[in-house]
Amino acid sequence: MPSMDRDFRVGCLVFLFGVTVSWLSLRLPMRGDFIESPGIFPGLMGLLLTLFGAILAGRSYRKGGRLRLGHFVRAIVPFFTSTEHRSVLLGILFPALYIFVGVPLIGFYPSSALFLTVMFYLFVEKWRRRFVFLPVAIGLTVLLYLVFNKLFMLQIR
Amino acid sequence: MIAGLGKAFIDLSTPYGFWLMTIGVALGILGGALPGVSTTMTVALLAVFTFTMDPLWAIILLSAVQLGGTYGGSISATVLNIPGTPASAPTAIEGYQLTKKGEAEIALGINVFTSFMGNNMGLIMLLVTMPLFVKLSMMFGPWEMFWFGVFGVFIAANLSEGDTLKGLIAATIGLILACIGIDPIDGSPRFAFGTVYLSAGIPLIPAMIGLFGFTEVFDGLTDLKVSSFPLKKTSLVGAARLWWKYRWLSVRTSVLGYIIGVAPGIGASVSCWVGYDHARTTSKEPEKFGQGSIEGLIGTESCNMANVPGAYAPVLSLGVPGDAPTAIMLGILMLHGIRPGPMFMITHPQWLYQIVVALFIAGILFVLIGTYAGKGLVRLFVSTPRTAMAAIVAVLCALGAYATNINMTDIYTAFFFGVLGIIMRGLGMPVSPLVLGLILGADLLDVEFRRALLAGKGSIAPFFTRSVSIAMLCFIALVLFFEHAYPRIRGSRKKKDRTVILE
Repeated sequence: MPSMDRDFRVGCLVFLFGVTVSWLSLRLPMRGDFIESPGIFPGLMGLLLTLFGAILAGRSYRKGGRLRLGHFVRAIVPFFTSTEHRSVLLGILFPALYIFVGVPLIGFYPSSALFLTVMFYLFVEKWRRRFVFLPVAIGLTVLLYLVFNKLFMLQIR
Repeated sequence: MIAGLGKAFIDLSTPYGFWLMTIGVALGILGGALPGVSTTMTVALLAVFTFTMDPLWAIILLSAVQLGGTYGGSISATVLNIPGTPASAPTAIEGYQLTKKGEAEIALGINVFTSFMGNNMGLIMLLVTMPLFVKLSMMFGPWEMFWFGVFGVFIAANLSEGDTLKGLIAATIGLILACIGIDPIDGSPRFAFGTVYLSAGIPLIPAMIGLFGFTEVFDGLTDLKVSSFPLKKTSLVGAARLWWKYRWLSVRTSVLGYIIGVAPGIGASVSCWVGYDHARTTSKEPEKFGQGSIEGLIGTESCNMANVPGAYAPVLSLGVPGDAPTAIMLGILMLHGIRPGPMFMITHPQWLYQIVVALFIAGILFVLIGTYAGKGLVRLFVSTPRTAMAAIVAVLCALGAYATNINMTDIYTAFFFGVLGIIMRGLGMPVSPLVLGLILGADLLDVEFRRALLAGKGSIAPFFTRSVSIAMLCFIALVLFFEHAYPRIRGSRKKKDRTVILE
């Protein structure tokens, strides 16, 4: 049943997304008839998506899928607290910090060296014990700099 | 023809020629394998060095780069799950699953050997059928190109394991996302919401890096149970034996790849999916697709590589580039005062033979370089702890996304698509159709649909009345029948027969 509920919710979301895209397409500036306007293709795709969303929702409804928003909301807190999902969130958090904080603040290569050092130190016990995490992180960053900036002459800072 | 090929072989078999082709193939493999440094970018970078060269050597160097780059994309796709080029996205699906099973060397061996054979078959077809296919491709108007795109959408839907509807939804979302940005026909912004970044459209490479690479990073950093992947060793002979087992699949997909390569503007990023889908639909073990299928790899790589020789046909005979790297080569030729076109092949027939021989020699060179480079990379990869590899892949993803346009926002786009990939996985939605939707929507479906409407003065009738369109529609209907309806009819007949026997 949960997968039917999931499909029903996805169907509803897709339906709403399709309606929104169609509506936004109609509002695009027109020069002449709508059939020749920039919104014609995305508008048609929006309509198709609305149709597909309705079919998916209808199909899962017939098999017993329901919106059951109460279940969904109640499942949100355990999602963030369960060990499995917490590790997923942590797995996203570290790269997010590197990309959204490190790179804009201190530049690409210093933040990459820092990110690799922290990741190797925290997660690769073998390298931490032998104290190779720092030279490996710095060596890799220098190698990437040489390949991208020197060999392929890209202006990465 | 034989005399022409022999003369071309003698002309190119010089130390300078071999040195040039070796450099070209090696740099091409490196450029293709590095995320963000595409084949096109490598060809463009090296084009600068060819200004003072003899035009023939310049084209030979660049064609070696193109061939190496086309293969190089599949190395990072197989080992790191980051498609180095858009054309190696299906390779990432099957190749990386094989890597996880410890069969990375087998996957890379298959990639090398199949690419080599695909290239050779493409070259044979280039020699034999070039004039015919070029005439045929010229009959394709925007209406037929649109139908070709629609065919691609059906392929996308097929890529979802088990649920075609979900595949269609993902492909349609991809097509809608591809509409973001400046309208290619009249230049007005669509769904950009006033932002400069979105006006340029969703960049394809960062989106693919996110959907394939970042999702793998998130997976690698959260699944701490697997410390590193195993490795079964194999040789090129072993890979050749596997290829021989599926040789007819390789031949069929090579023909498909060559035909798509001849049609200007479609390119390897679409043909690889056509080859993958053909392999899946004709396979006796379709359940293995998405789990590390050798047939999937062979179908993709043959189609991908045969596309390269195909792209030369319109350049040499019509002066119309088949894809971005051949467009750069055309520019280099024009810079040297050479203008390919219908008369070019009559006045300079030797050029075709020299390019064919150069691509053949480059093929042998990439087998040698690719085998050793790939093996080295695989051994380094499996000896590195998985969490460390995930961190390195995260840096490569960010670097690859950034290097595409030297734009910081591209890294955020890649990250966004990575999170989208994880959410889609959680919701049971396939990611591959979304990627194909993005590819088809950006350059093909939207543009050709609008062009067709403008050319037909707003009428949709030519979509159904032009003879080539009708042929395309019949082709799509036949493919859909054999992929969906025929197996059901056969299945229900078998069921009936079984019931009769049991009674």
